[in-house]
Amino acid sequence: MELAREDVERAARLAAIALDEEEVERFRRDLSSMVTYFDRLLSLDLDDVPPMAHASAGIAPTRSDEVQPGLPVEKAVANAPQSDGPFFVVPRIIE
Amino acid sequence: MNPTDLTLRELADALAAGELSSEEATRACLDRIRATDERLGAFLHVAEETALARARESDRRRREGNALGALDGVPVALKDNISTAGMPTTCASRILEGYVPPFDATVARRLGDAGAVVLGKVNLDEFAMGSTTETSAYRVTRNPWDLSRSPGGSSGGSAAAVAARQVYGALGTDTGGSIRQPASHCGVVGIKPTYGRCSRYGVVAYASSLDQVGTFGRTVEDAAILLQAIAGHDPLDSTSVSEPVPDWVAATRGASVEGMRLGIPKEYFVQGVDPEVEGAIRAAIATLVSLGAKVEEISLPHTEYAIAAYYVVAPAEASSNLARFDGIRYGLSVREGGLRDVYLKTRAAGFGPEVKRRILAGTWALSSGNYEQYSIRAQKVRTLIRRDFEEAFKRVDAIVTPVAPTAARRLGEKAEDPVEAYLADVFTLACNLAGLPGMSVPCGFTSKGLPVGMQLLGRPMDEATLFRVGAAYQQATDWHRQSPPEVA
Repeated sequence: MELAREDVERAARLAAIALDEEEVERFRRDLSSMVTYFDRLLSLDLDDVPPMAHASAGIAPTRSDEVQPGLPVEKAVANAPQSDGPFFVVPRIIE
Repeated sequence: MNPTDLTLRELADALAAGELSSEEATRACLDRIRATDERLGAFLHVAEETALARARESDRRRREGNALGALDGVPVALKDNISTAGMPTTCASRILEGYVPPFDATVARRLGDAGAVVLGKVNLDEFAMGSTTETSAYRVTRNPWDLSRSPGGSSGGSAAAVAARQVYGALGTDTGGSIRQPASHCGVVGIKPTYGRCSRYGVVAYASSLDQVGTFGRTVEDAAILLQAIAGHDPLDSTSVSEPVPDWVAATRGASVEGMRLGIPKEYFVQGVDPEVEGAIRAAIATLVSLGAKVEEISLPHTEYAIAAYYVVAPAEASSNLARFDGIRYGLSVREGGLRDVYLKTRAAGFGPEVKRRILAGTWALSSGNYEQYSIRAQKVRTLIRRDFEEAFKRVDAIVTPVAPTAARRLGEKAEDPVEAYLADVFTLACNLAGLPGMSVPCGFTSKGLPVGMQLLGRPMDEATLFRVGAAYQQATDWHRQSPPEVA
C-alpha cells in the first residue's frame, strides 16, 4: 500500500517528531515499502485466532503493595536539562 | 601467556588457584582495549578507575577467604542500554548523551553482587534498533575477523569485545536476534533466555513484550556462568518469572546429546541462505548425529509471516516506549519555543533515522484505522507462530537452524529499502515472538574466514537443553578456540 505524505505527517504529529520536507518524503517511501510487506498478514484467515500480546512463560508473581524507598528527589532531577530545587523546569504552558 | 587468552572459566580457575589476581586480569584487559579499540570500536565508555578499584576489592576478598564465586574478579562489559549507576548509559543515541543513571539495572546489580568487574559500556545500534551496529550515533564497531565488516547487531559491541579478547564475557539484549546474530558473526556464544528469565528493570525498553537480556562468552560454559548470575525473578519487573533457575553450569559439564531429538525446520533451509552457511550448519548437524542425537525434519509453517508480524509489533511498542524521551527529565533538550516545540525539536534532533522510522511505523500501525488491520492481525500471527513451536516441541527437544542467511556483511552495505535489511532477521525473530530461549554457537567459517553460528531453539524455560547441546558440540569441535586475526 502506498502511503500519502499526510499519513506520515499525521504519524509524526502523534509521535511528536518534527520532520523536514525531505524526511517526510523519505519516510513516506520507507513506510510504504514496509506496509506493502505487512500486507501479507491480510491473506491469512485469523478470525478464530486469539491475539498474543506477550510471551510470558509463567504467571506474573504478585507482591504485597507496600511503600518501598524510592529515588531521592535530588537524584531524580540530577539529569534534568533544567531544574529548580526539586522541580523540573518546563517552558511556560499558560499565557 | 597473556591473561586475555584465557576463557572466563579458565580465568576463574586461575583466580581461585592464586595464579593470577583480578587486578592483573583487569589491567591486561584495559591494555588490550587500549591496543585494539581504536580499530575495533567496541567501547563507548571505559571505566578504568572504578574497574581497577573493584578488581582490588575482589583480590582483597579472595585473600581474606571470602571470594564470591566464579565471577568474582572477572572483567566484563555491558551493552550501553543497560543502566549503570554513576556510569553513562547512552543507548548509542544523541538523545541520551551525557545521561548518567541514578540506579543500576537489576542484571548489572546482580553481576556486581557476584563480584564481576564492569570494564565499561559497549556499542549498539541506536536503542538496539538495527542488525549491524551502524545506527549508533557515536562510532562504528568493526568485526574482529574482518575489519571491513560489521560485527552484526544490535549487540555488536558486546560480541566484538568478547571475540577480540577485550573482556571475558558481556551482557547484551535481544529483541529480534540482537544477541544471537552478532554472536554468530563474531564467532562467540550468545544466548537469549526465555522471555521472563531475566529482569528488564533498568534495561532501556525497545519492545517490552520481546526484549530480553542475555549473555556472551567464548564458550557455552562461559555464557552459562554469566546467565546463572543474572537470571531469576525480580520484584521490580513483574514480567520476570518466579520459576527457580536450574544449575546451567552443571548442565554444561560432561554434556551429552545421546538420544536427544533435534528438529530441522524445512522453512529455515530455503533459497537466499548462503550455501557456505548452509554447509556449515549441515556439517554441525552431522556432528551432533555422530554424538548420538536423532534428527528429524519438522515444519514451522508460519515462519514466512514472522518478519511482517515482528515489524508491526516491535515498532508499535517502541513508539510507546520512546515517548519518554521528551527533553524534560533527562538527556538532550532543544529549548526553543513552547513546550510542544521542545518535544518536537528535541526528538527531531535526538533520534537517528532508523529510530524515527520505527517510531513512525509503530505510530502508524497503532493509529485508528490501522490498529485492527495491522496491529491486532500481527498479534494473532504471533499466536500462530507460538503454536507452530508448541507442535514441534511435542516431537523434538530442540531445534537447529542457521542464525542468519549470510556471514557478516560489509560496513556501509546498507540496503536502500528498509524491508530489504529487515529480511536478514528472518531466522531469529520467531524465537522472540514466541518467547523461546535461543542460542548461537560457532560452527565453522566461510571460505573468506568469517564465522558462522548455529542457532539452537528450545522450549520455554528449557535453557538447560540448549546448554547441553551447545556444550556437547563444543567438546567435539574447536571452532570456538580460534582467535580473530585482525586484532592479534
